Amino acid sequence: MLFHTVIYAVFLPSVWLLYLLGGRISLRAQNFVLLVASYFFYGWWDWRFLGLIFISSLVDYIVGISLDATPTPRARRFVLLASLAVNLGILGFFKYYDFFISSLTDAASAAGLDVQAPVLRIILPVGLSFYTFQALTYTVGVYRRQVKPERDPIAFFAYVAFFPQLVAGPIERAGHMLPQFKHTHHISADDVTRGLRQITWGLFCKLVVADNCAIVANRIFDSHAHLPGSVALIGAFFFAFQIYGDFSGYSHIALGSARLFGFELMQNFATPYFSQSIPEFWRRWHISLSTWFRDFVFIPIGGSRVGKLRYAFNILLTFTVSGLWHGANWTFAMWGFLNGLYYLPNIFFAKRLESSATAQTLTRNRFVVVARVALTFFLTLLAWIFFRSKTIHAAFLMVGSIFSGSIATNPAPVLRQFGLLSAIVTAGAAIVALNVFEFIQRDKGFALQVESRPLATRWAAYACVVGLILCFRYTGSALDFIYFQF
Amino acid sequence: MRLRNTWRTLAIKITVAIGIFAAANLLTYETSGYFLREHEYYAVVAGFTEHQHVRSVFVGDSHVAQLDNEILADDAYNVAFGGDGLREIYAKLRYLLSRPNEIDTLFLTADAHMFGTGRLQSSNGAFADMYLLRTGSPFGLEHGRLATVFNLVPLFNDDFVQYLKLDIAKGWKRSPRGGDDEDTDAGWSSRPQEERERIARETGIGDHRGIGAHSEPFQWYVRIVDLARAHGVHVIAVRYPSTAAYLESETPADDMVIDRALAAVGVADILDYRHVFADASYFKDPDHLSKKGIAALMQLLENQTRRKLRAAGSDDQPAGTASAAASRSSDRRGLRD
Repeated sequence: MLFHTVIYAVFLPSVWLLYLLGGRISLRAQNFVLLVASYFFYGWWDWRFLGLIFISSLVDYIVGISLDATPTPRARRFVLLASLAVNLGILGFFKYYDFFISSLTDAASAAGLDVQAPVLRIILPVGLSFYTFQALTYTVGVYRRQVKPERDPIAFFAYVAFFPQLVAGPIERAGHMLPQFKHTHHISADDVTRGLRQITWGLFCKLVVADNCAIVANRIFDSHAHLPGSVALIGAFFFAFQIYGDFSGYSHIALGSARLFGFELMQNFATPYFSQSIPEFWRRWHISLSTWFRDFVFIPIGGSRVGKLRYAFNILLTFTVSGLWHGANWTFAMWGFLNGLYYLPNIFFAKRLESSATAQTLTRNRFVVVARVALTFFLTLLAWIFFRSKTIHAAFLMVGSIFSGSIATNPAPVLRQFGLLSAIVTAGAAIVALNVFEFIQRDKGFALQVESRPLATRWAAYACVVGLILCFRYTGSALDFIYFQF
Repeated sequence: MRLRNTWRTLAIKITVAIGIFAAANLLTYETSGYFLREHEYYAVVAGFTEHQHVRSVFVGDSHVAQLDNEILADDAYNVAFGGDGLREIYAKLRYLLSRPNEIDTLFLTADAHMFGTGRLQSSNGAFADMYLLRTGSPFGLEHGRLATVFNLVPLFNDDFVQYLKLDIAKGWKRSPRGGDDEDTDAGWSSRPQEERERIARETGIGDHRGIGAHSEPFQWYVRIVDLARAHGVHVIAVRYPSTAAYLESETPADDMVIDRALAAVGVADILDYRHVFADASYFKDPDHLSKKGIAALMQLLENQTRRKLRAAGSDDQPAGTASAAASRSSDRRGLRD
């Protein structure tokens, strides 16, 4: 079930009403409503994969209680490893089996060996990476004694499957999320108002920005012709906003939906394209995943409290693994590695590059700030080319074209040939609107968080955003959220 | 400053928002060209109910719609509308056949462009949804009934949004089919031949793109024919006249694909008028007939089907030199006894 479809528009208020009724009965009734709704939501795609969520939840539920009951460190470690093996085993099998097998056979044939291994063409269950990582925060948290084991199965299963963030996050920490299932939610009118505002903003990001940009980006990236640098740059530019609008839009709808039920999810995006450096970008982009990798990969392998070379290695490894988390393809690994490379100057030249300025404090020399924002955006844009391209070779061709003389070529004839001129106008206008809103509201959690503005401003903002959704939304066949495939 | 909402203030705000939304919908519905077109669309189909004893029904897009109901006999009715695809034709036919009727013959377009990429998505798609909904069609509502009902709200209507975007874009660029004078009979024939051929060629290339590349149009054709047969209606496939330059982009391979499809579905009566008119005076644009052309075509249709199709008083118009009309299966004898 996609957030921007009619069925969700019916599903959400129906569950909300049931949830309110459940609140009149008991906390367990409320959680039960959420659990059933979440399984229904997930089963709408493919009910067969419900078994995976159930197994994952069951294993972690038992592991949590077992960890609490196991006193010896060695036994505790064994129980934790069992949980990791099951969770990561499911993830590894469904997401990476075919990838590693085909990579292995490719490598073997390159070395002159004839290796035959079966490729199973496994279907990746939607959201597997997200709920697996979320479940892991629980078992690791209990192991570290940071989280108390949850004994109420309904609360725990509802926590793992909570539908607003089930398929594409934010990846919540058990320590933040589980306690929210432990008290009855008395939903306030403020919760509903804020939730509706955030859902509206999310719909704008998805339907107006992302999907209109997708028309341009898809046409250019799916073209097999060798494109002039100017056209390649335009493709990368629109993809940068497609993926931002798509994923931030999803996150806003998720946060807004959760808010309707009185839940507070963590902020996942904080105007990342206004960042003045790559480290700042990663503090503002997909925050729940970045912090997950920081806490569960980067710090455990040594973090930054090591020598500079080791620190650099840790950074590169963490970014590359996070790239692979996105998808079983070397293009994603390259995307992560490239972002890791971008990070390195901050390790070796930290003092020179030390930046205290943020997009929220556009002070002093505005020219410098704009230049830094532009450079950061350009670097991320180059990395997105690897993220979006089908092969590393195609990505290098595109990047090469951007750094060739063809960057000065007039792109209009190619764009006209692709039938993209009017799509570019619509998508460009959407990007402008997005950035204007986000710049004005850059100190807020989302751009339509306007409750402190005067009445006329608030209603003007609503009218503007809703008007844009109604009149300039993408109208082709529904496009999935990009992150669903991860 | 943090404003605090109460349930009461929230209810008031939501009511106001719904009121504004309803008013915006009403305004859009009453003033937008898209919905004016919708009124016309429904009016054409509704007109069928005013004709008690219709036996022959014409369906298709603008190539068929040019046969205006005013020139048709009482027992013939044309529900064709510019921009219709085969899905829309199916929807209308379902609706007509679901009502009391005496239809025995369906003049179904078999123009090549109906099977091309351009007609996969019709601008009349949302109009036709109404007929599919009303008749409980098992086909055509791929997004589900709920989404279709949602689409009936003007500002939720995707086709309207598409229309709006195009309308805005038109402000910046001219229509590729040229100026307004093209829409008049004299306008087209008074253009230099070279220009006419260029426009016709460009239009043809656009219209004939992707013939045979998509299975959907052929599936709809089968559904239309099956539906007609299930109601005892005889199907005659018609290919309407166009200019030679327009038809250049329709390749023999395209024809073969369509012919095979018609044969597979058992449509044997095919009236092929594509090349019957050579003179520019028979056309008002690359693929639409002038009044003279329409009169000539009607005469050909009558002769070939041995059926009175023209209204009294409209059959004395000149038929021109259209003697070369050829039917692939029936030549010049009656198609149906």
